[in-house]
Amino acid sequence: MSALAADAIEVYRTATRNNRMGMWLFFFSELFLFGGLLITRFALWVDEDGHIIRPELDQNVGLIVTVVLLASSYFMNRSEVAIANGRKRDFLVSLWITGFLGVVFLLGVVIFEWGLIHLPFVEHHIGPTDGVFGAVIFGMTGMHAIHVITGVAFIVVVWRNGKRDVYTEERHWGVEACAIYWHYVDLVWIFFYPAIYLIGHAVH
Amino acid sequence: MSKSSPFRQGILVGIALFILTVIEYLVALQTGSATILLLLGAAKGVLVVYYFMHITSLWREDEEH
Amino acid sequence: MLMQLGLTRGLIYQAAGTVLGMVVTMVWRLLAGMPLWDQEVVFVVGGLVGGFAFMWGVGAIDDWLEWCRGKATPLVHGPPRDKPAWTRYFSTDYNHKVIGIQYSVTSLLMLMIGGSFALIFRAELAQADLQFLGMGMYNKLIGLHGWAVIAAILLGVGGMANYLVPLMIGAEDMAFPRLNAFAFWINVPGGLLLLASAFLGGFDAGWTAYPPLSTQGSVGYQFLFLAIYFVGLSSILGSLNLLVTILTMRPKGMDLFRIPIFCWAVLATSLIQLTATQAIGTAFLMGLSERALGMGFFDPEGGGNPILFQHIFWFYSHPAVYVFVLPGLGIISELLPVFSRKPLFGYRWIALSSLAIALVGFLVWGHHMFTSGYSPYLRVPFMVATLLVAVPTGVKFFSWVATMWGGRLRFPTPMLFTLGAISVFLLGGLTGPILATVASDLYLHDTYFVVGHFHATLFGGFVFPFCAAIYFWFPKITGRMYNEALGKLHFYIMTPAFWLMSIGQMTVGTMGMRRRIVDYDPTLGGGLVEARHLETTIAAFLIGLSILIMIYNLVTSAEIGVRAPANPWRSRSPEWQIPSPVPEHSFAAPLQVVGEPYDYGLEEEYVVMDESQAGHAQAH
Ligand SMILES: [Cu+2]
Repeated sequence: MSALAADAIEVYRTATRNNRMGMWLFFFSELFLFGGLLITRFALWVDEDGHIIRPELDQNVGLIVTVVLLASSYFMNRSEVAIANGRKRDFLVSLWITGFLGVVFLLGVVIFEWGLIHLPFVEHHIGPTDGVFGAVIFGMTGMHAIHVITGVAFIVVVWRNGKRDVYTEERHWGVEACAIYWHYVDLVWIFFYPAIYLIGHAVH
Repeated sequence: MSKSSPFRQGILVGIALFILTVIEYLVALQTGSATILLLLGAAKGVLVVYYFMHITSLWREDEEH
Repeated sequence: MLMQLGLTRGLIYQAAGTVLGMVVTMVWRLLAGMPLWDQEVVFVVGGLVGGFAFMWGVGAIDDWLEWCRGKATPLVHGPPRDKPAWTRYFSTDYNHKVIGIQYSVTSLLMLMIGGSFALIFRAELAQADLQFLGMGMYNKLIGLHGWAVIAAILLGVGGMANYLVPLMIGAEDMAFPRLNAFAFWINVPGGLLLLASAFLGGFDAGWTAYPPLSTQGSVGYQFLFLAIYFVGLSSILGSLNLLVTILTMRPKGMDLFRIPIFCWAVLATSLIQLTATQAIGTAFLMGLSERALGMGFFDPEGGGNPILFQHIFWFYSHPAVYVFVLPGLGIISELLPVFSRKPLFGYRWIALSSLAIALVGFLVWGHHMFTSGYSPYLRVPFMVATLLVAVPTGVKFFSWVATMWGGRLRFPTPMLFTLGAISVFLLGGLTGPILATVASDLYLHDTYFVVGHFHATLFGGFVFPFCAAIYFWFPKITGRMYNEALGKLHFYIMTPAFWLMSIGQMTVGTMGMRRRIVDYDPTLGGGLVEARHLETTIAAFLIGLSILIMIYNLVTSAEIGVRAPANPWRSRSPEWQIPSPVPEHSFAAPLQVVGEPYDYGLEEEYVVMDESQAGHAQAH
């Protein structure tokens, strides 16, 4: 490696370190948004005696979309590891699967949980106007869904650039940013899933 | 360190996350305890933050994947 | 020519985007079988699309779009090639010095707009009974005054931080120049939405926008919620940028306890802005969706809780006060040693007190809610935590006094404003514990005493230091000196006028005058309330006059002022070791730290330029 190239790599590494810190600070900031929503959930979903309650939701939907999102996070990690080890094909395929699972998650939420698209075999939905249950569910899943959508868009961009050989073993900050963003979206859901579906006793 | 180890690590973490999720689900069938379920969530969160998001790369100088 | 300005393009795009967003929403509603017109949804989508269209039109996201297409975009510093140099101030420019000026000028503009709203309703209050303002109009004006001035203060803080921090730590620019430009420009659609809300019925519940008033009032609230979302996004992204810059871009040898003290204030401020801003975003977003989609977060009908809004709102809005004042207090600490020719007393204590104020500030929000009806046992912890804030604030006052003690003081305009700031902030600070104490707050809550308190805090913590900063760095920015006589005139009008205004407000408050009420009983305070109100109004107009004098001074001096030397104040700070005005690439060579920042009276320098490395800084 020539001295000039080594210099360029050093510059890239410094920039990446700054970018990484910026990205994490952004996550730290968003923590307060999602934390605020979680606090709203625990403040509003209580009965007269102060016990934590939750609405009766379709548990299968909750479990399935959660597992789908976790699986997508695994493939995202695989994708990033692949590009760092120079396995371009593996990188692209894993990234594609990640995006696909992300879309599946979104559809699961939009169709089965929100009931925005009416299917004959799905019924009994809570709407946004149904008191605090509806408001909090739609507030939490809606804010999360916005992040999933931007994440999927991010994945599409990285995938297209990846096909054009923009990323290398040494220089793939774009992939890393996309990956940690996607994991962050997953991380939020890790706390939202029990908060919406599991914690407290169900009331009708 | 062999080249396949980060791949294997990813699989192990993925499996751990899956198992914890199933445990969460099973626990919730018995009790809706916020403490237990949030602790389980925190365990999953730590796995994601540490292994998937490599939080240590923030302070470690020469990280190699 | 006009079309070459990013600003013009942005405005056209915003107008088009707003209309487009509204039309698309209506078409979509028709297709979904809903009635065509629902002002809540249609205006929200329109405002949102318009805001992003502005960012696209102004060119703040051009480079990022290129990145999405896999292209690298080298950062080009310097005035535009094919256009006059002044156009860069009206277009997307990545130089932090340009962005700092953009922030500051926009701040002054907003300050004057917000201030004139206040003058209108102050004129109404000069006499009892209704004269020329209707009740509804009065309520809208106080809300607009509040938010316009808060936006102005946030812009001013951004201006000082953006211009000064990279210069003070010897960095070539901010860590993320494009993000920096984005964070500035998002304020413009935000500010426009805020002012435009006046045409949609405004918001008449005061700046706090508590539900249920805000969820039932006119559609102007939606524009307020959106506007603050945009302005808040600016705070978050700007502070993120400043944090990374301060933490990673210092030269070798400049450890964190050797940076100029203003950077510590910015560090603490940025920590608040980065995190707490999300809370008001969340609160306003919930208000927005309650109105637009019927999601009953705050509607007790379906189990919602309006007090929850207050908790989330104040979780931002109290720490926000420290966002407003900490940079100003940093300016005071920065300027006092220069004009006292003595080291800053207790550097570490000052640095850490900023951090302490920021952190304790997160635990005190409930002092705004003593009368809200929340659990009474919450009152005492919030009271104690609030009183605790006085400790680190007191540390600052002791340090300022000790810094001046025995110094060889000089009194040019910036120093006068620094001293004015200390006196006014003291007034604001000392009235704080009275309001923090539950027993007295129950009587003073929502009276003009509160108004007097926070105006003193914000004038002492922001307006006076901001004026000091403007006069102090004016030679560095423009290369010319301001007019000293006019500067002093500004000071000697504004300071007594402010004291008069503030004490007048506090006095009518103790007489029982309520905040946010257009009229008052002239027999209050033994019939003296009207006279106090009249004095307050006169004082407010005098403050307005003094600000106009400053604007006149700045504008004319930039043209015809005496040429400024590189270091007219004999400061040790890095930005004064380079020519005035600051060259495009601030430092010709990387900085080397050889001493302490505030060792006034010692021979040894704070920083020197490493000439052997000259030119290297611009290599990439
Ligand atoms: Cu407060």
